[in-house]
Amino acid sequence: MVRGRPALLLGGFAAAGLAIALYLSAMALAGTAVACLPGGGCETVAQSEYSRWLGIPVAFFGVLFSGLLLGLIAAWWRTGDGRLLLAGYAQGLVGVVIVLYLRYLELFVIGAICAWCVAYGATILFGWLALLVVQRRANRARDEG
Amino acid sequence: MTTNSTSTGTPPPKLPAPQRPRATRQERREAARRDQRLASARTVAVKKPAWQSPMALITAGAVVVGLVVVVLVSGVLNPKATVGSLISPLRPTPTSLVDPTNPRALGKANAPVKVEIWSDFQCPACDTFATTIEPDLIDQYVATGKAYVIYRDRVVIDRFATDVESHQAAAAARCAGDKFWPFHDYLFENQKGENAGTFSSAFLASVADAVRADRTAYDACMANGAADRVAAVNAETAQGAAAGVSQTPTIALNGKLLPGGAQPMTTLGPAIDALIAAASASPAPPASLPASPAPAASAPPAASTAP
Repeated sequence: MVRGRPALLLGGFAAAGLAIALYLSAMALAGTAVACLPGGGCETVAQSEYSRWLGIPVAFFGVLFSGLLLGLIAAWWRTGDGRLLLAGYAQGLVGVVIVLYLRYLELFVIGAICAWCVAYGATILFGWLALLVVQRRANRARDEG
Repeated sequence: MTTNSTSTGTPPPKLPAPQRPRATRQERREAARRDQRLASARTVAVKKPAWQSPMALITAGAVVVGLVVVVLVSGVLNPKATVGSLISPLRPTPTSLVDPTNPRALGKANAPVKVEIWSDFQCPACDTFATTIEPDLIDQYVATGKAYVIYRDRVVIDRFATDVESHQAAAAARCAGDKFWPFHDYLFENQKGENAGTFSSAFLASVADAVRADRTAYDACMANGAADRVAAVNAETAQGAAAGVSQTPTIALNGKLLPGGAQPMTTLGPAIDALIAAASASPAPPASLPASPAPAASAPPAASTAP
């Protein structure tokens, strides 16, 4: 199976997610003096109790997640090992479940939307959908071969 | 005379079977291959159902893992202590430190450093300060007599006539009287959203119950004196705005504003220590912003005065 273009697409999603997570992590690191401005809009989500897991900003986990996903895709592109693609697919799906939960928190618990968080979630969701398509094509090529 | 075997009952002797010529090695190999092909053709491939395919199993496994992660991080397994539906403060302010002459102040008024905390009960950054930094500030500097802390209302979240929860929460906290600080702790611990209905009248009343405020006085204050309290909140907000408090939380040390935001103890501590050292060198009384003016007796409720 040709891996060039699919790897580029998959890697693009993962890299975009990694970039957003790095930005959010930088904001979290520098955010110890974040303040509320008149009219609200003080990054309610970033300041909520749900912005940290085990005391660690959620964005840090996003960096780890997207970094690992990008690594799996790159390794699959280099080696063609179908197991790496499958691992990326599984990891992506775990990410989709978590991202859906975070959207639920924003909409129904925190009551505020973080645009950057939504953008990151989009890279995870669409990246996984692309992985699903590529994985199915790989399965089909293997069965026909 | 002929012999008839049937008449006597004995079968005729069998002639030996003609011997076939022995098959060559090649013929034996071809026969074996032929048999194998026939056996393969007869074999019916058993196809697994779709749900048992590796993809399906991995998909199911990944969903399960995702749900497990969600359960673990959602705190379902570690529920916070609650009073009814309220979350109890993790680090409540010691009420023994409350200034008997000013329920919104902590410590001794003659402490070398006066710390004013300009805050909005709906502000998430103020929540961060109140729940993670303020307890350390109180432990390290108020309890030891080095600092005197005063809470100041600076409403920034309320914007329109319909966005009033910051005002309502601030007014309710004032109506709690000497239970102001426990009320303050509960408000920040249970903060959720901005003008999303969290600080409703019923919620604020439940907080009053949780902190064991005098409900008679509280209800009378909220029913009859709410306008006065809101006017007082507005007045203090305007005072802060005039003094340069444009965001929350903003900390003032002896009247001097620090940069806006939830300043960590790594910043606050050294700043306070420096003021203590300066005060011990030249013992002048600590300055502060002008005191909050007394509310008018019957001031009408005012909308947010955010700049």
